[in-house]
Amino acid sequence: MADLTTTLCGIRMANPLVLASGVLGTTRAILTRAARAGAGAVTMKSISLEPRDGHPNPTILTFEAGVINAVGYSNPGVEEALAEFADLGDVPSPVIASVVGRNAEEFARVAERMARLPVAAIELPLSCPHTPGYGTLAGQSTPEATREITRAVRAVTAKPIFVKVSPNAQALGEIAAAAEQAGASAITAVNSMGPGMVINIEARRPVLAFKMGGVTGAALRPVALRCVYDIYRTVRIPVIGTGGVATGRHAIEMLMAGATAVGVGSAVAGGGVEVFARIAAEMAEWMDRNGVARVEELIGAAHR
Amino acid sequence: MQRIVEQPVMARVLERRDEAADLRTLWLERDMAFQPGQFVMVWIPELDEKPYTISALRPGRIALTVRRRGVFSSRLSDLRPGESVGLRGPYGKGYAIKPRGVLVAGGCGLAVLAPLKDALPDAPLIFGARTRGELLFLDRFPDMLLCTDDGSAGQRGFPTDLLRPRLERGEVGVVYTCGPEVMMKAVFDLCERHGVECQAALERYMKCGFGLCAQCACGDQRVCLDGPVFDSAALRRMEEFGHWARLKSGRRVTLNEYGNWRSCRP
Ligand SMILES: Cc1cc2nc3c(=O)[nH]c(=O)nc-3n(C[C@H](O)[C@H](O)[C@H](O)COP(=O)(O)OP(=O)(O)OC[C@H]3O[C@@H](n4cnc5c(N)ncnc54)[C@H](O)[C@@H]3O)c2cc1C
Ligand SMILES: Cc1cc2nc3c(=O)[nH]c(=O)nc-3n(C[C@H](O)[C@H](O)[C@H](O)COP(=O)(O)O)c2cc1C
Ligand code: FES
Repeated sequence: MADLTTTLCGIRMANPLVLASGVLGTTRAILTRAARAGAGAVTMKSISLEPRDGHPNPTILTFEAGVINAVGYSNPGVEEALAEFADLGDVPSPVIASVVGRNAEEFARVAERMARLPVAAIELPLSCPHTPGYGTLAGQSTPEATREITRAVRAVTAKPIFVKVSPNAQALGEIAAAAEQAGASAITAVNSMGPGMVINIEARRPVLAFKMGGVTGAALRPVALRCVYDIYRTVRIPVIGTGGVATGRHAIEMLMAGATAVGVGSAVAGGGVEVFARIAAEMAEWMDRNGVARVEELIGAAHR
Repeated sequence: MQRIVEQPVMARVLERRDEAADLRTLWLERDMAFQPGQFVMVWIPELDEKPYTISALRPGRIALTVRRRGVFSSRLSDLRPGESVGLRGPYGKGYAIKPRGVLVAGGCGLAVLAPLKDALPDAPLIFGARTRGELLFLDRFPDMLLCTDDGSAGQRGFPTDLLRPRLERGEVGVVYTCGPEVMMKAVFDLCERHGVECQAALERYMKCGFGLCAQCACGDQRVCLDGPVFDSAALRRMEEFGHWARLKSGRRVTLNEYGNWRSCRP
């Protein structure tokens, strides 16, 4: 039987699958359920300094090739998050805290406090395409901003830092390199692409209340794979390959492109919480059939 | 893997009818395979999207029964025949029908139980409201067992007062309930004391409606997909049931604060 265990920045995982931020990650109880259902690590929904209501509904829709969302970082704020996630003892997999801010100083303030929780790593999405004041819309998706924000957070915590990048970025290699130089421990690639839009032709209006939203799931997968492939060639730190993974084959593709771990988000919409156990079983089955004993043998295989 | 496209489809308002003081039924042009307890997401373009139950079904048409509370429910109530709203769904798990059921509705929770009563015409239906003017569906269900907090119609007291003797006589196999959560908690606790199964439809703020975002979390359950109807085994494990709910930001507050925010009684 193939061995799915893997180590990411010193974090030991039962399998390479990571619950992506913003999917299911709102509470301790739900994170526990996702971990019990087989996620090798789980990520919280992104936390900001102050509570945020996010955009009005509709915020999340599916289309023929994935999900489009403009949730807009709704979250209860760092103060409440510290209480919600104070005790992570029940969660059987490592927990990653996702932290957002409007500038480097705010990132550091939130990260410093979230890092006091029993979390394994801090993730910094510099790449949300649909929340004014944050991510791409605040110019965080440049090598300069990436360097500044990563440095500021590195100064307040010794825990692993994952910098999450946008598939839209022109200078993706430079952004990943800037993150690495500034002290990032891994790159999460990628966040949602776009933004895109869906129009209801009877109503003659965009359906999302914010009109546009990040595109994820199946449509994103080939783009995410190429991003992971490129980043693997540019930096030495590990990559968490995220985007459209819904089957064991997809996860193995990500590993071969250069990922050490594999994020899963939108697939929960089609497959439920059970998707993690299913993908892991499919990976093990493929590895057995193809004489692959360990995950490491697959990482970056497409480059050799 | 099956992929469903979760996007609203517009439906025209055919007719509307006033049920009680601030409660109105809208009939919409649509056929739907709907199980009592499920819900749909109702979209008013450029305003918002919220969950509602289907309160009645006929060939080619479905009904929404809406209490006027805030901006959205007022705009929805004021839609005129010929105008349209978007619908997606139905979503969630409905009531699981078992022998010797009794229905216990509180306030506009009757909208949720009404199609179940249509399916189980012989099952007793206990309906409580605060006062006479808030009663609804009196013509549709003439055999309802009524109570009001102020005694202005039916027995004076809580729906639990009407349920208790039936549980004591051992004539109840299962209780289906929907209404303010404090009432459902009281109904559940009473059922527990008598060892009778209770199925309650919970209400939480929702975003996706199909289990992706966990905005609607109650314990480790997603109300939109794992519920909204939960049985006794699930309710027992949910420490938040009857006590806490989450605001739009995800902040956990008491049911009272949640109710004030939703401008409805918890
Ligand atoms: C899935 C779902 C879908 C829904 N869909 C709709 C919809 O489409 N339209 C709609 O308008 N509403 C809907 N609701 C119902 C609505 O959310 C609740 O019923 C509402 O919060 C109740 O408010 P009320 O003002 O009508 O109740 P109230 O008038 O405040 O109370 C009703 C009854 O509850 C009793 N009660 C209150 N507290 C207690 C207690 N502590 N112990 C015992 N009895 C008590 C009262 O005595 C009274 O008899 C839905 C609910 C769910 C779960
Ligand atoms: C509904 C939804 C909400 C999301 N919210 C966040 C978020 O708060 N923070 C973040 O870093 N990424 C967020 N994302 C992006 C995911 O974490 C992930 O990077 C992206 O969806 C690609 O993976 P997937 O195709 O497996 O979903 C969200 C995605 C979805 C679908
Ligand atoms: S509303 Fe998104 S999971 Fe329930």
